[in-house]
Amino acid sequence: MHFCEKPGEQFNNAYWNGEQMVFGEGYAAPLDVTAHELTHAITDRTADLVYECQSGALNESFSDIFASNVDTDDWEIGEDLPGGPLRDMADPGRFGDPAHVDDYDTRPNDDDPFNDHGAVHSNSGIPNHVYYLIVQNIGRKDAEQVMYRVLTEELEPTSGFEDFRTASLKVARDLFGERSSQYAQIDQSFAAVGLDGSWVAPEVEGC
Amino acid sequence: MLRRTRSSRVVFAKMRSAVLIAGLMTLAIAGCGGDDESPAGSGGPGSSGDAQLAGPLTFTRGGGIAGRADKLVVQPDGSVSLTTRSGGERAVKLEPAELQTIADNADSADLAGLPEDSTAGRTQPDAFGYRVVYDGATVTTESGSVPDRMGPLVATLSKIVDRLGAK
Repeated sequence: MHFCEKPGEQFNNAYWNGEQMVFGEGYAAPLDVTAHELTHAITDRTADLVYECQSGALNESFSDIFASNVDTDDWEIGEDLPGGPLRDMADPGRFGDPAHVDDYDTRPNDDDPFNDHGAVHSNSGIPNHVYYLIVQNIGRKDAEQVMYRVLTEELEPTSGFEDFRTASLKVARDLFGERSSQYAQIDQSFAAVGLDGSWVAPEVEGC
Repeated sequence: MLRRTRSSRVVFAKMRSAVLIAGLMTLAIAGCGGDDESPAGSGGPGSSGDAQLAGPLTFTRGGGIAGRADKLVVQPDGSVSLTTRSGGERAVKLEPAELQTIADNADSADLAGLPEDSTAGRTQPDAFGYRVVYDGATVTTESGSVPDRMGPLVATLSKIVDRLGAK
């Protein structure tokens, strides 16, 4: 446990450093923020999604997905933070994040902090919105079971958005069958954001 | 507001158990400090208190749980402009005392003597990344790895970015 000694200087963030979760004042209280950081630890030890480009956006998205699973009465992330919400999985565009692959953020993956490892937070809006649609279509209980298996059993470090779709459909087939409504609805949810098995990602420097 | 479903509790309990079993759970709470363990404030050891900016100073802060992308440019006359991810830009003029603090902090940081890459060298999801470009030197660093003598500068500039209200 580490407490800072000089009050009055706010650290406005929470992060996972590979060994610890670090919380600024007011950032440890919201359940979805804690779950978000905890899920980064899970991802580290399971799919180990590389924190850049599409795999980094998936890394961020899974943290939001499981945050939403424990804070279930809205689709905002961080609404109880001192500065208010950071993202909206139902409406990513509300915070400038894409909800469809046509609006993919093409900031490069370089060492400039401005570009956020190839826009990992921004582009998480796309898989975030997929999950929102899946829950609307099949319910959270089935949706979260699919996502947990996708993250812990199916994805690999360099998986991208289409790999996410393929993995989700595989798990849906395993759990519910290929002719199930769950399978069909998951397929439609991905298609709604432009992921139908044929999406070709834009060329992004460093990705 | 924080209602949990039974199934989500089961899934999340699995996740928490995995982390606990792996022995990963160490909690750090940073209740203060402009960033990390570095105290904010003017100068510090070696600060003259009457330094002046030798030219424009550019401060970039990216990432964080919010996915920020902020670029702040401070001119020697106290004019500052902040550019954000959305393309929005704000321009203001700093009070002389705050400009003096930045100049003193920059002087004490002695950026030219720091490694250009002062990052941890490992993945830190949601950590802030920082870059300062000033007087011919460029230093890139991140939360948890900010060099001690650069900490006050990062803290001062972060406060200005926060105050200007960037997402």
